[in-house]
Parts: sequence; structure tokens; C-alpha cells
Amino acid sequence: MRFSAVDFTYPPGGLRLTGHDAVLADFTWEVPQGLTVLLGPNGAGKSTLLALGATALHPTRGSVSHANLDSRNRADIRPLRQAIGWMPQQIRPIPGFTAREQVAYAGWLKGLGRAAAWAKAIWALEATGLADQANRLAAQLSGGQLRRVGLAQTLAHDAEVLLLDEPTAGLDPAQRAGFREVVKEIGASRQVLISTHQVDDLDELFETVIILDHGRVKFEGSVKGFLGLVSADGPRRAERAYAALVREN
Amino acid sequence: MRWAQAIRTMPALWLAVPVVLAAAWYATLLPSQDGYSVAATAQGTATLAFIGSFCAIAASWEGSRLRRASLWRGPWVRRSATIVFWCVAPAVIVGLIAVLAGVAVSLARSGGGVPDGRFLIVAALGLVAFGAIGFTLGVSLPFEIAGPLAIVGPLFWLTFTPAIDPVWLRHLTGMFRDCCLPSEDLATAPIVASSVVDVGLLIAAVIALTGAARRRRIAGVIAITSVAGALGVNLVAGMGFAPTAPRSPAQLACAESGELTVCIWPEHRAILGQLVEVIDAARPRWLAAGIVSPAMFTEAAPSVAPRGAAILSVPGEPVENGDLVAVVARSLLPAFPDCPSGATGWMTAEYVEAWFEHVAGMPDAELARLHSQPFDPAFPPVLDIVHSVGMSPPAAQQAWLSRVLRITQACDPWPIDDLNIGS
Repeated sequence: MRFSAVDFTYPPGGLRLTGHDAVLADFTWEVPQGLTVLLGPNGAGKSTLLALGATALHPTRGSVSHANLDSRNRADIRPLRQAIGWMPQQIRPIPGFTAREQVAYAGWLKGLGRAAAWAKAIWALEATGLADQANRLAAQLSGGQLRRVGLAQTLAHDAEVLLLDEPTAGLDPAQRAGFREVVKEIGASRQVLISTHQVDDLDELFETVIILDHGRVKFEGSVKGFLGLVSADGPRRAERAYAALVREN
Repeated sequence: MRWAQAIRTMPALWLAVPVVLAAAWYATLLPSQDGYSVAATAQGTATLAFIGSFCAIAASWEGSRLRRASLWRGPWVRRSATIVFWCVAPAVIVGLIAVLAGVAVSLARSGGGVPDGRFLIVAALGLVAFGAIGFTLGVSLPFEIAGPLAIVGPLFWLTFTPAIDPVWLRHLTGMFRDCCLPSEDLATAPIVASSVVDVGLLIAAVIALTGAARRRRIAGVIAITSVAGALGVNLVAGMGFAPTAPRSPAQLACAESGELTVCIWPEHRAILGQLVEVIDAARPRWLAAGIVSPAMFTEAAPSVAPRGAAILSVPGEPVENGDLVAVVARSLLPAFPDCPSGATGWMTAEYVEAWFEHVAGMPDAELARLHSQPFDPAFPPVLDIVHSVGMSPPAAQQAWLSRVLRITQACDPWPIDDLNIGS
């Protein structure tokens, strides 16, 4: 997946006639293969970047492309969306639906047939360790379980690229460990970009770290390279490396 | 969505049976329509008054479901139109089945026949528009606001509009309860006008659902509803309260006897032979009393009937000869003028009608049954006047007839004294 010369500004809301400041300006970047973690402070543009990648938002200028599909071409939008799985920051239960029905509905929205979506839903719930909750109403699931339903929704349609926005927010340490296992498994065969503002999530399982701040890439490299930005002495090395990069701003 | 899931989660399907039963029951409360399938279908579609709200609220719930789960306008592969279709279609289909149930009951009560497709097409368009509007409200507003709006909006449109002036506004709603007398057919203008309004509402809902900027959407919705409303108003402005046009005389079933021709609507065909016999027997008696009756009696509307023909309105079910004599006698009366309130000249027509019946040979017992008392207790008993006129010389009878017929046309405020033969 590639972002080419992307500008993005949120449109004015309500009766406001002027827009906000640009979130991204002339942003060009290619998502690396394998597992990538996207770090950055609040307001850095992480969620916007992922939403642009998912075509939930559209660049003011520039384009998002993947495998010869370009977001500027109307005909490419649907195949592009089919190739991309996006887990937004907030996962809400669909009123009245069970976990499996919610995942199947998301699969249908992403272009699967009804029968295929129904079958894939249970597979995706198994992959996220939630098969035993498949027939519970989504509204009755805990916050952590609901995030896993969100991940299952993203997996259900066999996307080539996964964009996961703060997938571990609100999860307890055990759930986060479980989540990392799931991500490791699904990342073996896909491009996965995970945004987080929790440096604790940084793990050797990620192949690439990218630091985004004020719409600019401040760092892109391996986890080892990122940690190498500060001395190995002392605690919380990742946090110090991150702070060093962000503080420069 | 699987069937089991749809049945468990969609209010449109939970409520399907109660709504269909309610429509069928409501249709039993409406007047029965003498075998005229156009009128019976019109009565049946009066169920739209509450089915419109049902469609809107059910679709609104589905829209609200997407809103609450933040699924509307997501980066989906399915087209928005497909997503909306599967949310709105169950409500519209259940609504249409309910309308059909109402129409079926109405037709069954009126003696059968085939439903008139024009009403069903207009009803279907209306239900689609209400469903689309309900869905739009559901995805746009919290359900606590969208739900009540979805119920009240269609109910207001379908029940309040027909109750206000100008009376032709009702023809924009697609609910044609005032159609049709046997001599009337549904006019084209109300069909087109209500369809234009429904399509306008549908397009407005689609515009509201697009991802365009809010100001553009609001402007689009206002523009399209204004244009559709103006077109609709232009089509029906000036019409009366009934959305009707004269029924085509080509549908009449006719029989001849000598120089006499009698034409009635096909749903009354069963009494055509009996009617011809009654008229055939009455005409020579009337002629003997100096009343020249026309050679043609027809149920066609006056505006399309042959010049000089007597305009009949016969009952749908089998009747006694005496009732048919009364029907024919009534057809010989001139049309009443549009008198101001308080005028009572038209009340004297009953005396003329009774006299025609008396001359045609109707027995006194039958006359007493049909004219047991006049419209107003202050008027003299009908039979007393008829008998006193009948015992007078032919010239006096003619003079009385001419005088009373003049009274019926003159909007006389208090004509009682002129009813007596010697006046």
C-alpha cells in the first residue's frame, strides 16, 4: 500500500466556513511488508492515515494505491476496499446481533456472499479466540471481547492489507498478549499496519516501526534501530527512544 | 442476513402478522362498494393511513441500527443502495402485503373482482418513499427523535392533508378513499401527481443519504421537494374532493326493447333484464299522464351520457320491482341547482318522485314504505299530496307538476304552501 503526495484536511463542520489545519501535507509513504507498528502522540494523524488507507476518508490531493488499484479511479475503489481490512478505533455492537452475526454482516458489507460471510465469521472468531462467544449478543460482550469482534470483522473477508487502529486500547495485559499472538499469526501472510500510542505495545514481533508526528514520518526502521536511538542503559528504553524523537519537534 | 436472524432482529418482520391483520380488519370498517372493483381497491388502499407510518418506523429502526453501530458510510464494498435496499425492503414488502390484504378484504366484501393496479402502484411508490424517508431519519438522527418523526410524519401527511382546504391537496397523498361512485373512474391527474410527489420524496431521501456536504444536501432536499410539490399541485389544483373522472361509457352493458335502450355498469348486469321490464311497463303509464320519458336510460355520468338520456343509479344487489321503479322515477327528476344553505326547494322533489312512482303503478303500501315521512316534519305527508294530485283532472296534475318542478330548481326558501294541488 502506498500513499502518494497525500494532502488531507478535515472539512468544516456545521456552519463553519473554514476548515481545520491540514492533518497530512504532501505525505508520501509506502507501507512495508509484514508487521508494522505506527506510533505517535495524540493528534499525530495516525487514525486519519489509516482511515485514508481504508478509503473511509478521501485525500484532498494525492492518492492511496495498492496492487495497481488507485483511490483516484472510481472503478478501483471497490476492489481496493476489498483488498483492505480496517479496524477503526471504536467498535460498537450492532443492536440485536450476535458476535457471529456482526462479523458475518461486516463480511457481507465487504463483498462476501451471505453463505460465505456466515462461514468466514466463525473462522474469524476462532482466529481471534472468540468462537465460544459467537452466539452471544455483541452488546453483552466486554470491551476487550468487542475489540476482538472488531478484529474478526477485519479478518472475515481475507484482506491483503490490515489497518488496525489502536487495537489494544482498553485491553488488559493478558488480552494484549493474546492479541499479539493473533496478530503474529495473521501478519505472516499479510501487510499489517497497527497504530498505537502505547509504546508498551512495541514488540520484537514487529518488523518495522514508524513514528508519525504532526503528519510527518519522524522515524522508519526496525525495532532494533528504533531502540538503538538511545543507550541501552536504564529502564523503559522504548519510551525514551520515542520521547527523544517526539521531543525534537 | 439469514432468515432466522432477520426474523429475530427486524421489527418489520416481528410486526408483519399484526400489521396485515390490522389492515384486513380496518378494511372491514370501510363502506362496501357494490362490486365495482375500482372503488373497492380504492377503499382497500385507505389502509395506507397507518401502513405508511409502519414502513417508515421499521426502516427508521434499521437505519438507526447502522447509525448506532457506526456502520453507515463505512468503506464498504457493497454499494450504499444495496445496503439501504436490504434495510428498507422488508418493511416495504410487509407494508405492501398489508395493503393487499386490505384490498382483498374490500374486494371480497364488494363481491369480488380484480384489484386495480393503478392504486397498488401508487401505494407501492408511497411505501418505498416512506421507507426511504424512515431509513434516512434513522441514520441521521438519534432513534429517540427519528422514531417519533417516522410515525408522525406519514400519519400527518396521510390523515391531516385530506382534512384541510383546499380539498384537492388530498390527491397528492396517493390515498384515494373518495374514489369512486359507479359512474366514476380514478382520474389520471391524481395518479401522476401523487407519483411525482412520492418520487420527489424518494429522491430527497437519496440526496439526504449521499456523502455531499450538509448544506448541499439540505439545498438539494428543499429543491427537489419543492419542485415535486409544485408539479403535483399544478396537476390537481382546482379538482374537487374526489380524485375522479367519468367512467368510460364503453364499459356499459346495454339492452334494448323497442325504441328503449337501458345501459348499466357491468357489476349491475344481473338486474338489467328486470330493469328493462320495469321501464317498459312504466313508460306508457307516464305518457298517459303527460310525462314524456326519454328513450334512453343510462348509468353513465351526466357529462358523458347521450344528450337527453335519463341518468340512473341502480343498486348492486337484486331488488324488488318497486325499488327499481323508484330508481327510474328519480332518474326523471331534473338535477338540483347549487342552492345556498337553508334553501328547501330540493325537498319538494320527493313529492314529484312519489307522484311518478304512483303514476307508474306502484301500490300504496310500497309508496308508504319508500316515503314514510318527508325530509322535514313541517312538510305535509308525501302520500296525502300524491293522492290529492292523483285525484285531480289531468290538466291540474300537469300544472302541479310544472309548478313543483320549478320549485325544485328555484332554491325556494319555504315552499310548503305551493305543494298543494290547488295552490
